Amino acid sequence: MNNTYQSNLVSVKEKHTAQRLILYIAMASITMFFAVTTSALLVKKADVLNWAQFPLPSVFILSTVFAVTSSVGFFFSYKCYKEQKFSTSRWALFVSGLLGVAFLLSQFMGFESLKAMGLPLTGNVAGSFIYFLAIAHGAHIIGGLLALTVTLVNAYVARNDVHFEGAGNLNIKRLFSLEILTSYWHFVNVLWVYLFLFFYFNYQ
Amino acid sequence: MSEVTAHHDSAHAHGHDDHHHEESWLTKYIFSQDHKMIGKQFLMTGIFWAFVGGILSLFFRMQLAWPNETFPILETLLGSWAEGGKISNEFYYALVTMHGTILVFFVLTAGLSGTFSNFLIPLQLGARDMASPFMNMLSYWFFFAASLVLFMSFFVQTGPASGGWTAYPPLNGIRDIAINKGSGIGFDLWITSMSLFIVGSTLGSLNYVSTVINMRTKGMTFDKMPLLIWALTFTAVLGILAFPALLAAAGLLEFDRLLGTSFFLNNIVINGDLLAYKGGSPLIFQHLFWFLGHPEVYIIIFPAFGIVSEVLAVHAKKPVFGYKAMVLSLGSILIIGFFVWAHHMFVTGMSPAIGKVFVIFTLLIAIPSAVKVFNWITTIWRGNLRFTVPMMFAIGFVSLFISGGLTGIHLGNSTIDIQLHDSYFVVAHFHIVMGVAAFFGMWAGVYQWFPKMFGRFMNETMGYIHFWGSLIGGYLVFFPMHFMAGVPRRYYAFDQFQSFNNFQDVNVFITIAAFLVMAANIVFLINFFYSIFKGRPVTEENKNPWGANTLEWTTPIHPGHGNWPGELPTVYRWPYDYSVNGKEVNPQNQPLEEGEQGH
Repeated sequence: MNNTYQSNLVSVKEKHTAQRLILYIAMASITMFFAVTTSALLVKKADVLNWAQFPLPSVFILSTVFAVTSSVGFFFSYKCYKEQKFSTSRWALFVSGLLGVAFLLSQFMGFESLKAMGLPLTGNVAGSFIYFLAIAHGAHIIGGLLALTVTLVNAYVARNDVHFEGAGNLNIKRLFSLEILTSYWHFVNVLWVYLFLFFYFNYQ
Repeated sequence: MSEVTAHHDSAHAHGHDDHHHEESWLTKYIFSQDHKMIGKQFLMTGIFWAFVGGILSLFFRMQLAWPNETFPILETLLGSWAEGGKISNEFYYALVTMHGTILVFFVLTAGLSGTFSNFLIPLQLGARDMASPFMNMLSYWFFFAASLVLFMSFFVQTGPASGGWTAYPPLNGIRDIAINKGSGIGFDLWITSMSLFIVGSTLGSLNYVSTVINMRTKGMTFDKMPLLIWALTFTAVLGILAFPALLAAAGLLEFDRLLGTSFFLNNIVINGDLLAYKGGSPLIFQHLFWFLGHPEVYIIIFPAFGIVSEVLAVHAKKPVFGYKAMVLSLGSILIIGFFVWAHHMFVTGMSPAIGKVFVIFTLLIAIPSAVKVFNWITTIWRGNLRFTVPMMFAIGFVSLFISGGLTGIHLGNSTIDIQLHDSYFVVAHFHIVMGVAAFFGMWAGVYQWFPKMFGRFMNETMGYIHFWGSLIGGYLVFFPMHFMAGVPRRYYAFDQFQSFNNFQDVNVFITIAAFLVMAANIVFLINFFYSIFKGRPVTEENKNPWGANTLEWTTPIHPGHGNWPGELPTVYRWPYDYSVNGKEVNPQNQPLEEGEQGH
């Protein structure tokens, strides 16, 4: 009988299944954050005397376009890695990251538009909710971009790995990282689409 | 196209096994990724905070008992907060705020579910470790960082937060120390600490749920899981879904305080000056807060439910009564628990129709709670009881849960609650049902699993002193408060009010009883630390000292990281096969006998 402790002697598949579930449950937790905050917004909106009426800045449409295209880029990157088109996968990841940065910039443009409408952060609470929700969502995007940067740097460093990419073989660990990151990225982008639609129907 | 080679997709990943390298002191005791060590870290930190929180309560109990006396020692200990030996009114409120925060979050959440989820989930499921040991380590260090930040807030010039553990605006929404010193940097640190705590708690909870779903050993089907694992899993689910509401509330509140938004503030006038805040609603904060705040009481009590279910069955040597009903009760409480939060807000001017909905859901929770109590009593009914220290605490828990739970039925009725709200009756109710009862669950767990944690036994005599001191003292502190149903709970001193003077003697009595409880817990503290180093050692002959069926007792006395040398145990039977086959104990990894039917 083997008398040694083998704490990591767990199949990779089992480990990945468990870690994938961690991500899905984390998504449920993040969803709760936005669900309760948007519920608070609806409760506040019912107090019509203190709720300003204004149209949603149109630049948020651009944000939505960036979010969706960035997600498509991630999907493409993951697909390419699986098909061992490593260079294309890296480029797709890089472009997705740029689209993520463009998304954040468009959010700032949205804030500027709100200010131009006379709705600074400290103005009417109707506007303040947009700032708060967009900033909270933006924090999740920044988290994703940091993870993307690490993944991209790793992919670049490993491009000539003689055991894997350099020999034309995929690396299960890196594929899994990419899968997790892709799922997260799709999730935060879907979250933005939800916020956009929520704003669209509550601010017209 | 080249061939796909997945080098790491073999059945097992090698290269990082513990036997390949020695762990350093730092990675073994401090930055450990071993769930058992992390569990002990949660326990030690929880015990530290329990004593800090307890000492704070003694300070404010002294003020309530002897409002006109001076105690030079208080000035020595607290400096300018107790000039002349008398606690200032500002600091009194800081004391109650910090007492509530520390006990609810740091002791009865982190210290209870943090300790036992970490220590026992992999051990009772037959797993090597959590799904992500690294995230598990992070969860403790976020909690530690939260602890440090809150501890620091005691030492800032304007003092710690003092606007109540519920952090209601507008008092806590305005960052002006002229209004309230505790609303300054002390409250910013409070919010920072809570945010760190929520991140840590969430990281831990994600891991617990994923581990339970994915890492069970062969044969450990859901219907063979110990009730404690069910309870800890549901606790984690509650935390994952409820804590985001507090994070949202804290974020919005900090926007109001630091950036000048008006989410929770509207037309505030201070000293004749109208502040710029306009259009907010402090009631929205209350809704967000209690959307966490009420499930939080189940986050606190569920682990105690689970521990008590295990301890009662093991020490009565009887199968737990109504296993499925116990699991279903936990599940129903989990679901209904999300629809009762506004029973904390009956006096906010809520529509009676909406109030009625919350009354109905609140009273509905009494049903699964009563099912659990019934099942605990039936479990030990005519059992072969061993009145060991953990068993005493488990029985004490049932007594306290009934005593405290019954007054919940009073308070769940809006018509009665409107009379009793913010009175000492409420203090009595929640301290008994989720304070003292949860502590009894925690102590039952500590005494039960101490031999597994440290390979030694705690001293029994000291354990009984701890039990009786805490049970008698706990009842003496909180039972008289039921008779103070007309006395408001947040007053600094009652001697200025003729109508409350009648209760002065009761307040003195309660304070003396509080000192008794602290004395009993000092006995526990000495016993705990002494036994870690000098307690009677566990030997091969008594390595399953209570005769339990669950898997944690099948590991070596001092299990390494990975828990079982060699193969993981296989499970053949449920954990409550006590007194069957002519044997009192039938461990879960013992194969069924010929002709024997599994549960």
